[in-house]
Amino acid sequence: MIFSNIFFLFRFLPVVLLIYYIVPYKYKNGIITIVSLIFYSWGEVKYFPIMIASTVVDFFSSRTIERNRDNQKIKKICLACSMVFNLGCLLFFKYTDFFIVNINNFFGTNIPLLHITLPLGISFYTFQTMSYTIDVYRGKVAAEKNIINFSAFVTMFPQLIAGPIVKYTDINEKLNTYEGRITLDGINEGIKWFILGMGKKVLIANNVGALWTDIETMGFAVGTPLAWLGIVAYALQIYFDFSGYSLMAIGLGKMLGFDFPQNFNLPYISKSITEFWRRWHMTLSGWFREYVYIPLGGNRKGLKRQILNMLVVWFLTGFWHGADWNFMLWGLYYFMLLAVEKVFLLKFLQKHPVFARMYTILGFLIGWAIFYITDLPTLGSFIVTLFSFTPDARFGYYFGSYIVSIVIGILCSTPLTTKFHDKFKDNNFVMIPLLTAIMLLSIAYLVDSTYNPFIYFRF
Amino acid sequence: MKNLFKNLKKYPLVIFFAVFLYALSVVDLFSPQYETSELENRDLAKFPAFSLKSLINNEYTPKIEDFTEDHFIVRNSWISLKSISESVLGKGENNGIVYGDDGYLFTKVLAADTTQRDKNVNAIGAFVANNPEFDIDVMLVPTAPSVMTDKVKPASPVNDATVVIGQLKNLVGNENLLDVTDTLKTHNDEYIYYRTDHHWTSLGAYYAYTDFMTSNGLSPRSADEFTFVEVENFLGTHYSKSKNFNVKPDVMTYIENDSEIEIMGTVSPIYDYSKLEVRDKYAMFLQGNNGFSTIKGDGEGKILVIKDSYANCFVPFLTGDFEQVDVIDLRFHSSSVRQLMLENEYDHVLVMYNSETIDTDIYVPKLNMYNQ
Repeated sequence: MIFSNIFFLFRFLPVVLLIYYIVPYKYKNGIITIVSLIFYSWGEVKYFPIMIASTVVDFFSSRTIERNRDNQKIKKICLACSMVFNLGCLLFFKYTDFFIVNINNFFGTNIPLLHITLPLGISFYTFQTMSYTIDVYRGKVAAEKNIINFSAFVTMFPQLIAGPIVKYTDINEKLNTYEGRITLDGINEGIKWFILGMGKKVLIANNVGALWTDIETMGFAVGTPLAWLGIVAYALQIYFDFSGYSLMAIGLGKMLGFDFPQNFNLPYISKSITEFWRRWHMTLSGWFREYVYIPLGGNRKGLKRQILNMLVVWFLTGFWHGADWNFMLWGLYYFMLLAVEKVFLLKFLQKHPVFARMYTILGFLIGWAIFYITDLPTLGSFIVTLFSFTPDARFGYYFGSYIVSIVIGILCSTPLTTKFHDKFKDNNFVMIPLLTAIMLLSIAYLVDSTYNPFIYFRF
Repeated sequence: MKNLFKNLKKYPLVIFFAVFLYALSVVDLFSPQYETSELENRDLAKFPAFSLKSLINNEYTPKIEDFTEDHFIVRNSWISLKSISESVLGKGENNGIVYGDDGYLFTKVLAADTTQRDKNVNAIGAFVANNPEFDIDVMLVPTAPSVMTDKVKPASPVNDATVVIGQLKNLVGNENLLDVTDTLKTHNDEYIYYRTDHHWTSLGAYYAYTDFMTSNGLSPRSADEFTFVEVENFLGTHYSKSKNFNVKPDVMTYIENDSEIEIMGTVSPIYDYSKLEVRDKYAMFLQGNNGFSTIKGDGEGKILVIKDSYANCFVPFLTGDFEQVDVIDLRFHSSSVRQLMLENEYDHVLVMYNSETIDTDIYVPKLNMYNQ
């Protein structure tokens, strides 16, 4: 089940909120766990035992670490247990077929594929539980004593399937706060973010995304202007799709009394790719920084080592997004840009803001092409199209049909929206009609949903 | 509790959202359910029957979501709201339908599926070559966008009939291919295609009929000899998909015809007049699409029409000129066409498809199947 769905809105959500608000405080975490398991099983009933196993493994590893603070050996074994289990699940479910295909290609063998469906959200929750055990190991946080509280953290449905990647340290205080967890202020904020997120997802992402789907149907064989229009539309689609979904998650979290971390901060206004990655999917880049980059030495061991560390992080980031060569290429592409910026370009960009913006926009647009087009020859010819001049008679039609949505999308990618929000956020005469309009229109689009994908579902 | 209500006053959004969410949910839950949607011309999703297998395959729960969506309260008003919003955004299409000028709706065609088209064209070519003893005409009727060219917005992704007609011409030759494009184009200021449906009008079919007759050395009747009957407020299949709020309804036309049609041993009037009461009025012609039907006419000679639904409003023009009009719809007919032709010794065989069916239909190759 995804949030932008009539069933979620008018069946699941009202029932869940009602139960959650009326049960006594000590049962609330239990309710979160139960409804989250239903939410998860709704989309993927076979695989919820994996999530439970992941919860149990990390709960007990961390408990054992906590009890054996002075015994380095036991601590290490427990940490290893957690990492082997989580990474093992992730590797097995996400990457087995990819490895088989490539072994078959490389050695000419004929190992049959397993055709495993990827358990929903596994890329997200394995990262969350693993980071928890690492934090406990490092002594950054005390191990959770109550398994119900811990499972509420792992399964919590707003962030379960597509993030933001919430770390235990983000919400452990609230998990153990009973009185005063839920405030009207929080619910009010939550409703606002939820509706705004839904608008981003349903009204902007779906609207511009149909253009890119058409171009895909044409096999990406389009002329230059249409190729540019398409890649801009896709950039807007993936941003509004994912950030809208994250915002809905944050809103739902607030309605339940939790503060999830921000996941996007207007990434498209960045003036360098380095800045872009500080603003895009912030919880994922934060995770890699904290649990891979810094432990490897970060920038403390000289430039050469730093570049190598970046290579590792970006290879993993690419691979995390999908078991395909193009995702690795995508990760390496960003590694190259970031390394070049690190070595010399960043200083130049700071002095030339106009150039910096154009370079960054070009950088992430090409990045999205690499990200989306899995077939490498097709990707090559698409990029050639972008930089040659082949006309396309169909451009006029698509321009007319999509330009208004695209302009709205671009405007909403700029600080105009935050400025508007800061000015009117306490003005109910502006906010309530605005949110009502977004809500009604979103419902209309959901009822007649001919096109309602969710891009980050496949990760 | 008292405190809560006092504080609640400071949060009108919370009150508003809660009332909205719960009121709509409850009213929706208890509102009457409909089995079909007149507007969309389709059956609405049914509540799925539970089975462990469908649950485990993740097939059960999505059906519940579809059900909720299909039966959501005032569904049609939400659909109109979306349509208005799309129109404000300047969208040129919705749900696979491209908007033309003057209320014309066209099927959206991105990149024609040439594999199926090639199969079908080759099947027709083989059919003509394999039945040399018969006088076979192949009529490929261009759909609206290839004829009503001034109604198509520039560079719209719609069907272009010229390629496939050229392909057929190369294969079966001019003597067998009957290209009605030019005839229809000379009349494209008349009402020859429905705006909201994927079919042509009876008037469009009449012009094709004159072409067919003349090319076979027969004299067509003049239009005055037919009585065209008009039925107001026809909203066709394209509208059922696009559901645009600013639709211009069509006037459906049929010609008076008292012939009887025999389908699987049952004889009935050539038209199913009860269909005039429902949304899909075009289904009246020839009692809908049937595998094999035979119509007794008042003329001379026998003709076989192998067709898609475009022929349904065309066939009634033939009953005055032929003694026997047989009709095959290969989608519902699975036996040898050649065998039937040999048994009946038809004087004319007409293969008739529209330029969109020929790109997608998978049953055309049945022309040459089941032969011994």
